[in-house]
Amino acid sequence: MLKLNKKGFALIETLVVTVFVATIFSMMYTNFFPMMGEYERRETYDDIDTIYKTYLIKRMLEDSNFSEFKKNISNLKTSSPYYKEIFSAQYDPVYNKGEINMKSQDIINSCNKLTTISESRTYCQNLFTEIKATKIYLASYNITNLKKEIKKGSTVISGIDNETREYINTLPYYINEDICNYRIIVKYAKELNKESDLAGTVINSFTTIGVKL
Amino acid sequence: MIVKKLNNKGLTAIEVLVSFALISVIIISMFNVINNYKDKEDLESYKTDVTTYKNTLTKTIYDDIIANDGVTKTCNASDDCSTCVSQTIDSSASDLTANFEYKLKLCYKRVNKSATIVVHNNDDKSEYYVDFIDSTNNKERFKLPSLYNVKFNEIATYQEPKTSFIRIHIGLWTADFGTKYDALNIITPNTAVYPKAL
Repeated sequence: MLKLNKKGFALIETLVVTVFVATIFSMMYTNFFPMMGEYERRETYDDIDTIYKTYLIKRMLEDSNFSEFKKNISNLKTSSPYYKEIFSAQYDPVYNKGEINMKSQDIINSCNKLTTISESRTYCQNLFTEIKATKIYLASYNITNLKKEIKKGSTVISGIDNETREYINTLPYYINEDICNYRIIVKYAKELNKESDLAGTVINSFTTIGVKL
Repeated sequence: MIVKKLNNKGLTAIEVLVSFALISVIIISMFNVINNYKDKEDLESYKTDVTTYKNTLTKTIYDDIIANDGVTKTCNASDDCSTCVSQTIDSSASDLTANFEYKLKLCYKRVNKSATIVVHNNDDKSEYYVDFIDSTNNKERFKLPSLYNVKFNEIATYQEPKTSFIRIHIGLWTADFGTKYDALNIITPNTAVYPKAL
């Protein structure tokens, strides 16, 4: 009588294992690749050049000549929307590679809202022409409430674009308010690979710093 | 009569040979993939080293500028800040020889305070570095990471006529990444013009 060979796997066992292994690998794949994108995006957060440029903005805003935008900001800490846009300028979309040009009228209009003093306005315009900031948001130093509004996706923060919201989500809450009472979140236009032969695309970089107003 | 049972365990020779052949094919095909990833990893690691180098040097220079209330002019290293005329340098790869040394003095707003940046390329000795002598005369050498032979190919300093901001630019180059690779860019207001800037 022929003896049955009991070695090997049944078809159903093979199928189950294959499906199981395929599921594990696809989960790993879908979790791994967003991490790569996240890493590349975070390269544009808080880089050394923008940190020092933001320091220059901080020193300017803390100056007593810049008083216009400081009116009625105490409610930023307690009342929605918990932020105020104090600077906005766009760059010229047509530019020579290696040099982004800011729209001068945007800068003039924004600086006029920051200060009424002529000499200070001149410095403000020159500073923003050089450093290529496109947006500045003023918020309370402790951004817990702002982050909550962003997580809720609330309409009161519709003035903050998605990229800036992603950056704010990566920030800590900054609970300790001993030194600074407000915070500025700055968005810059930066040319990708500016120094290389691949110069071209403009990307946004972000940084934040506490200010004492 | 005792019949010895044959041992049916184990592999036949042909099975072993086929297994070895299959495993060799898999290993050889994986070899290229792993090699590519290793090269990528080396390249990214090197880019990180250059970025760290650039960041450390940028921070050192900026910290000294801020501690001394800003730059009023950039001059030749041998000149006196009280009498020198602000210098404009705008060199490029065609102007720079394989071996050179550029010295630049940063004159600070604080009286009698200055710093010196020395940019040094020497192909013969494979030495590429920046020396920064700060306002307290401490000298710190920043040597470029040696893989991929990155060197300095551009130096520029000038006061932007429209804004009066002073720019200092030191370009980095390597044959592997094209004519330009990265750069150090310092932008600071001229605090002779903007007394409250820093």
